Parts: sequence; C-alpha cells; structure tokens
Amino acid sequence: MKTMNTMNMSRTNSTVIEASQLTKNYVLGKDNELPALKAVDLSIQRGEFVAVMGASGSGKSTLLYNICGMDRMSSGRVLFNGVELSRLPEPALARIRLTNMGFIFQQIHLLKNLSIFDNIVLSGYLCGNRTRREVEQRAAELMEQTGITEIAGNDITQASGGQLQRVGICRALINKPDIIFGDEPTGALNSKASGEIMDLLGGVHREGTTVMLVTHDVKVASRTERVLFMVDGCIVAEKRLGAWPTDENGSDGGVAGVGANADGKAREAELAQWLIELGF
Amino acid sequence: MMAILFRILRRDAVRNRVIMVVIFALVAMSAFLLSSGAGLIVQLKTSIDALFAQSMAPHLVQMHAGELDRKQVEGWAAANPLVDQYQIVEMITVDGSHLTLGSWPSTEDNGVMDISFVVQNEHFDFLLDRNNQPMLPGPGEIGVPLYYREARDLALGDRVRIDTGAFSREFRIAGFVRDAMMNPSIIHSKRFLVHQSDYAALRSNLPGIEYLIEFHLSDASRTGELAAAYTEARLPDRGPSVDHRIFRVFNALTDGMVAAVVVVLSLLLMLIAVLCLRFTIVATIEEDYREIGVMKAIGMDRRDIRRIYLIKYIALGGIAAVAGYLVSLAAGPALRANITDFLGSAEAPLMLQLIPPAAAVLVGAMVVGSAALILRRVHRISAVAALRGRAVDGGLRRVGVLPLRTGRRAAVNIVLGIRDVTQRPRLFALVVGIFAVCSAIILVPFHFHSTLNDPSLTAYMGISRSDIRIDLRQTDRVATRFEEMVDTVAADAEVARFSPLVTARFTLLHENGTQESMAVETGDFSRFPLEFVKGAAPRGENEIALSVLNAQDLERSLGDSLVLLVDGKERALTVSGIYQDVTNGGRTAKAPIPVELSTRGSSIRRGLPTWTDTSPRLWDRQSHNWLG
Ligand SMILES: Nc1ncnc2c1ncn2[C@@H]1O[C@H](COP(=O)(O)OP(=O)(O)OP(=O)(O)O)[C@@H](O)[C@H]1O
Ligand SMILES: [Mg+2]
Repeated sequence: MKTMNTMNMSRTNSTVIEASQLTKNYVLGKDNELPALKAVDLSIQRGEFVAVMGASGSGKSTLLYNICGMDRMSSGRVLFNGVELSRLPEPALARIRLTNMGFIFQQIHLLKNLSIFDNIVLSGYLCGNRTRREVEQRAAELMEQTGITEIAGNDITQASGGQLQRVGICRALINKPDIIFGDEPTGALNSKASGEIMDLLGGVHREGTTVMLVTHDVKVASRTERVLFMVDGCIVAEKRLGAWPTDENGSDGGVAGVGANADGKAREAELAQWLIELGF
Repeated sequence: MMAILFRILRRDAVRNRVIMVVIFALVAMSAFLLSSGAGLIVQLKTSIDALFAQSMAPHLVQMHAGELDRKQVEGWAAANPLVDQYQIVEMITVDGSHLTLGSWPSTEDNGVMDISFVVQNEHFDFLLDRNNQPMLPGPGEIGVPLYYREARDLALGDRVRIDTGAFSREFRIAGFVRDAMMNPSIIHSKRFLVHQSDYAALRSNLPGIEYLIEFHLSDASRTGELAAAYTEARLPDRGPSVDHRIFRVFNALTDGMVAAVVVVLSLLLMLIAVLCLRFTIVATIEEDYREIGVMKAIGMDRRDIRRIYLIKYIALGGIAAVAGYLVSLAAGPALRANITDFLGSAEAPLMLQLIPPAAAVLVGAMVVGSAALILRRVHRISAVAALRGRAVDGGLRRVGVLPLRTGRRAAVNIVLGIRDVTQRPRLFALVVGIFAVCSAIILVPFHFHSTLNDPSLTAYMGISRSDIRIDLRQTDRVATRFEEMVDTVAADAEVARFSPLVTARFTLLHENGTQESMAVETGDFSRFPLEFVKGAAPRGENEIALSVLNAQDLERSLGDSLVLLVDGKERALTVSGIYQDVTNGGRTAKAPIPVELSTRGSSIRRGLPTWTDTSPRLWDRQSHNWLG
C-alpha cells in the first residue's frame, strides 16, 4: 500500500466508464413509466475515487446498476474499458462483472453453506483466470490486509457486521478488478466500523483500483476525491476534493493518522456546506 | 471447484438433516423397488425362456378326447411343411376321487384339476425336474406337478395312491415336475409322470384316455396357419387347441402382476420423492434468494450457481440409488424365490442382468434431473430485484390480501391460516398432491386385490356373471350327459336361474367367397348379464355378438352384418354387441341360434341364491358323473 501513487498517476488518462445519455425508465404498468435516470452523462477515469450522493429515490442505485451492466438501460450508451455494454448478451455481461468489477453491498449476503474463506475464494475459482493456489494465496493476503485472517474458517454467522463487510471487500478484490462499486457499503455500520471500512477502501484506491461508492454519509463521501450529486435522475452538481492526506508513514489517516484527522474534519465540513447549498 | 462443492455438501448435510433423510429414504426405496421389479421381470422372462427351451415346449397342442386314428394324424403331420416335429401323447385321466396325495386327508375329489398320468415324452414337451432336466421316475416312483407341493403339502418320498376299488397302486414321490404347459395354477389340467411299466398297468385298469396332439414348428410364429390347416383337414379335435404363446402368458401372469405392482409402487414413490424435492428446493431458493441474487450480481455464471445447489441432490440421488440397488441385490433371491421355484433358476444373459442396476440408476438420474429442472428457477431471480430486496419473482403472488379484520367474530388465527393458504396456493397444492400420491400408494394393492376378487371382473373378460359355471368336456357321450345335467339342474331347488349354452362351429362366408370356421356360443344370453363394450346381448335369431378381437379381424362394428351357414342355409346376422374376451384365444361369438345337442363343447351356468354356499366343491360332487 505504499508505492502505489505512481501507478495511480500512470493510469489516470484512460477512461474506465463512459456513460452518455444514459436513461432508465421503470415500467410500472401500461403507459406508466417512472424515469429513474434522465439522459445522464458521466465518465470515470482510471484510478478515480468517486462518491454519488443524493436524496433517497434520486436514482443513485439505478445509476450504479446500469453502468455495471446488472440492469438493462432504456436508452443511451455505456462504455466499459471501451466496450459497449448495451450490446452484450447476459452471460458476457456476467463474465465482465466477475473478472473486471468488484461489488460491495450494504448487506454482503454470503453463502451459508460455506466458510468465510470459501466464500471469498468461490468467485476466484469460478472466474478461472488463475490457478487455485494463486486464488487461495490472494485470498489469504487480502484477509491479512483487512485483518480477518483469524476468522477464515468460521461460519458466516460467527462474524460481526464490520467483519462481514471486510469479507465483502476481500470477495470484491479477489479477481483484481479494474473498478469497485459500492452501494452504501457502510450503510449498516456504526461510525467506527464505517471509518475502518473507508480506511480499507482508501487503501484499495491508492493501490490503483478505481472505486465508485453510493452513500448518504458525508463523512464517507469526504474520504473520496470526487463527489457527484443527483436529483431526480440527473447529476446536477459535482465537487472535486484533493487526495486524502496521508501521514508520514504513508498509511491513511482514518483512526490512527492523528495529523490527518484534523484535515479530514475540514474536508467533511466543506463538503457538508456544499451539500446544504444544494439543498441536501 | 470440486473441493468447494464437497465442502458445501458437508455443511449442508448437517444443516438439513431431516428432510435429506426423508428424501434419501424415498429415493432409496424407489430404487429398491424399481430394480427389484426389473429383476423380477428379467428373471421371469429368463426362467420362462429356459423352461420352454429345455422342456422343448410344443408350439401348438390340440387336445382330443375319444377315438383317435393315429395314422391319419401322423400322415397329415408328416406331409405338412410347417411341422418340424410332432408327437401324439397319450394320457390316462384319473378321477380325483380315486387319487390321494401324501397324507392329505381327502381325495382329489374336491380338487378343481383334471388329473392325468403320463410317461416322459420322447421327442419334446419334456416334464422337467428341479434342475430342468427331463425327469425319469423309476418303477413305483412318480413325478408330481409342482403345484401340488404347496397345495397338498407334499415332500419327496411321500406316497401317491390310486384306488378305484377294483384296482389300487401306490407311488413314491421321486420329484416334482415343471410342466411348461400346465405349470400355472390357473391351468386346470395337471400331468403326473410315471414309469412305463406303471403306466401300462394303469392303462389296462383305468378307462379314460385322452390325447395331446403336439406340434413343434420350424417357425414358431406360424401356429395360426397350422391350426387353420388342421381344422381344414377335419382331423380329431374334440378339445381345445392351444398355442405356446398362451402357455407363456399364463406362466407369466401371477409373477408378472406382482412385478407390475412393484414397478407402479416404485414410480409412485419416485413421484413423492420428486414432489418433496420440489418442496425443499423451492424453499431453499426462497430462503437463499438474496444470496443467489448477489452471486448473479457479482457475475457468477448461472450454471455455476445452479451447480452449487444441485451438488447435494447429485450426491443424494447417487447414494440412494446405490443403496436401493444393494438392498435389492440382498433381497433379490428371496423375492425371486417363487419364480425360480416354479419356473427354474436360469442365469439371465448379461444384457438382461444390466437392467436391474440400470433401473436403479434411472431412479437416481430422474431425481437429479428433476432437481436440475426445478433449480432452473434460479434463472428467474433478477440480481437487481434481489439487491433491492424484493420478493421472489412469481413466488409470492399477491392473491387478494385478506384483511385481518374481516368480521368481528372470525378468530385471528383462523384468518391468518386462510391467508397463508390463499397467498401460497402452489405450496398447498403441493401438499395436497403429495397426500394424493400417498393415498394412491396405499390404495393400489388394495384395488388390485379387490379387482381380482370382484365377480364382475369375469363379466368384463367374456364370462358372464354367474355363481357356477360347468364346462363339459368333449367325449362321445357329451350330448346325453348334457341333457342329464340340464335335467338335474332344472330339478334342483337351490338353483335360481340357469342357462345351458352350446358352443358350435359354423362356417362363415366372406364377401369374396372364401369360407372360415368360427366358434359360436349359442343359447339364451339374456339370463346372465355380460358387460358389453358396445351394444347389447344378441336377441332373436338374426343377431350376433362378437368379441373385440373377432370384430377387429372381421372388420365388423355395431350394426354390420355377416353371413353364416346354418343348417346348410345362408343366414345374415346383424352385430348387436361387442364384448371383451379372454377365453378361447379371445376370438369368440355369441348368437341365440338353436343347435342340435349332438355337436361340440357346451357349458351350463347356474345362478344360486346368494345366501347359499357357492363354493364349487358342492357342485363337483354332484356333477362329476357328468364330467367324468
Ligand atoms: N424495480 C423498480 N420498479 C419501479 N420503480 C423503481 C424500481 N427500482 C427503483 N425504482 C424507483 O426508481 C427511483 C430511483 O430509485 P433508486 O433505488 O435508484 O434510488 P436511490 O437514489 O438509490 O435511493 P436510496 O437512497 O433510497 O437507495 C425511485 O423512485 C424508485 O422508487
Ligand atoms: Mg439505493
């Protein structure tokens, strides 16, 4: 997690997600459609750390599901690494999600019949790009980094919410994806656990992975570098924040980084001010 | 991947123990029954084949009672190209009242069998010992039909005694014979095998002689042609003529029905297993709905997801099928004992031996296949819907939500119960379905039993419903006997109704000028009802009823007519009804044409008031002077 900033730089030029005129209408009944996304244009560069905010029902999740190919857009275009998703059949979309994207949800929903370790390696095995040994090694590394090594053999019922969220991060990272999507990954956690998760995601970002989060939490959003604000299916405003300050050891400043803490508070206040101006 | 599937399996087995045990038991039971049923059928076929091959069963047998011109028959048979081998078997008929078997307290007077004594045949139609070798009893020894071993509780070394008063002789049971032709208990003729010297002694002391004129064909399928040629040649034919296929059917009947019931039961069990499977899988999918949605969301292939859930049913179906098969292997000899005992224990050819394990595999495969099919509903789960926390698509349908506050009186728990049913109609339909199949399983053997015991069954098989039916054998004095019998029956106060019937042969004239001989039962058919598939009993001298097979062969349906030669004159008869028949090869006809009593086979029916003892024994005693 130390030497990644350089790599970060070298990748920023290329675009991971390029959405243009992205529209999604939910069909509620005959002649009754609900426009959840209204011709959204959005591009996300490699290595970006993006947060999407907005009132409940403004279309944040819908945006996320449509740019990752989980849901079918009504019109418009999404390019992922230059590939147009709307043209691809379901299995090809699934394949891209499995190998090139990682997902973290509010609730992780692990398989009951597998241990925590097996839950993490399962998508690695199914992806089939690496040998079993490599997958297991990476899983062990990730668990080490996220601090859940000791619960590897546990049942999923034998872990706390924060631990499960870490398991989710490991699962999302197992195939070394280009981008991580998170739909309110900290939504079910208390602020301490939430801060720890954001520390981890900050690290993931600094290692070069693109991260896009949907969140309601100003504190969470303040850890990112670019905040989008949605109202009624449109992105109405955007704010860029600088890189999150790291302390002299190069580690992030969440809980441990004392110096960075004050900085973080200031960022949070600035963002909150911006949101209030937008009517959030 | 396999390793992880195995770990899934292990955790799951512990988690859902009860339902897994239930499904396992059902599948194993079904595999056991199906492979046992298949084993029974294979053994039955193998044993019958072996019995027929080793005894060299005749292809066509014409029975004949009375004088016989051997030269005439032999000359005809030698000249007929269809005949490969032929032989005329002489049998001494023994009156049941003269025969005592072992230590059985009574004579065979009350028995239903026609008993005759024979020597071992020379060329074919051998009577076999327990090793399926032709049996050759020494002087003073006897080979007793297997049927009597159980029926009369006989053992080797027991005595068989003939005593007519004037003549008596005792035999020692040297073995029990398998008789390809007369083995089954439903065939009312039995052959006892004795040494040539004993036979000669019986021959000079007992009057009754009958003949079996037997043919072995080079092409066994052409018995029909040979029988027709035989009739055409006006050779001795006082008695029925029987085809080897009938022997086979009769030999296979009892055990075949048992096998069929076993197979049906196994299929029903399998149905229940599949219903249970559906139940648990649907429940699992509903329970894991979110997890499945997430797996789809993160891009797992839906076939991989399906496999995660299928693995345990593959394991379950596989192990249960193997277990069921092993049990059927262990229980096999006991289950097949009846067949191997009566028909011989031949080793099935390898191809047939594969059928029972294949049947077990089939059960396992059906289970896995249905699980795979049911798991297809994994495809229906939408990742987005699952993430958004919606219920299973198409699972919980909103069926007019019943408000809790319906009437003031309705108890809340009753309303909740009804709501549960109306909201999950499929689930409850499933429970009802399982219940129905279970009931069927209980009822099948019961129905089977009561059907066989229902007197109306015979009415569907071509024999009209009466309490007693007496068939007269073809003999020289059949006409006088028939009259005597009719008189006695008419005078008997216990007889409520009776109807004398005579079966006679008539010549049928085809439109194209060819002729055919047809057996027609004549008499009054209105007194004892018969079930008709179509139409009704013939009334008046210009109507005729045909058996289904005859109607098909002659291409006649209701209202059509056919022309018979009656007393040398052509008579057009209208088809008044069509009925099912199993007697006489299924080809019979019924018409109230008056016939001279001099002609052939006749039967008489008596209706007794239902409160009397209607067992045939009462009757045998009185009637044997006609039958004898
Ligand atoms: N399957 C659906 N069918 C119909 N309407 C839907 C469906 N899913 C979402 N909507 C509607 O689309 C709009 C956008 O929903 P979306 O979930 O994207 O909002 P959100 O910004 O993620 O809200 P939240 O912050 O509550 O998660 C909402 O009005 C929602 O009611
Ligand atoms: Mg949302």
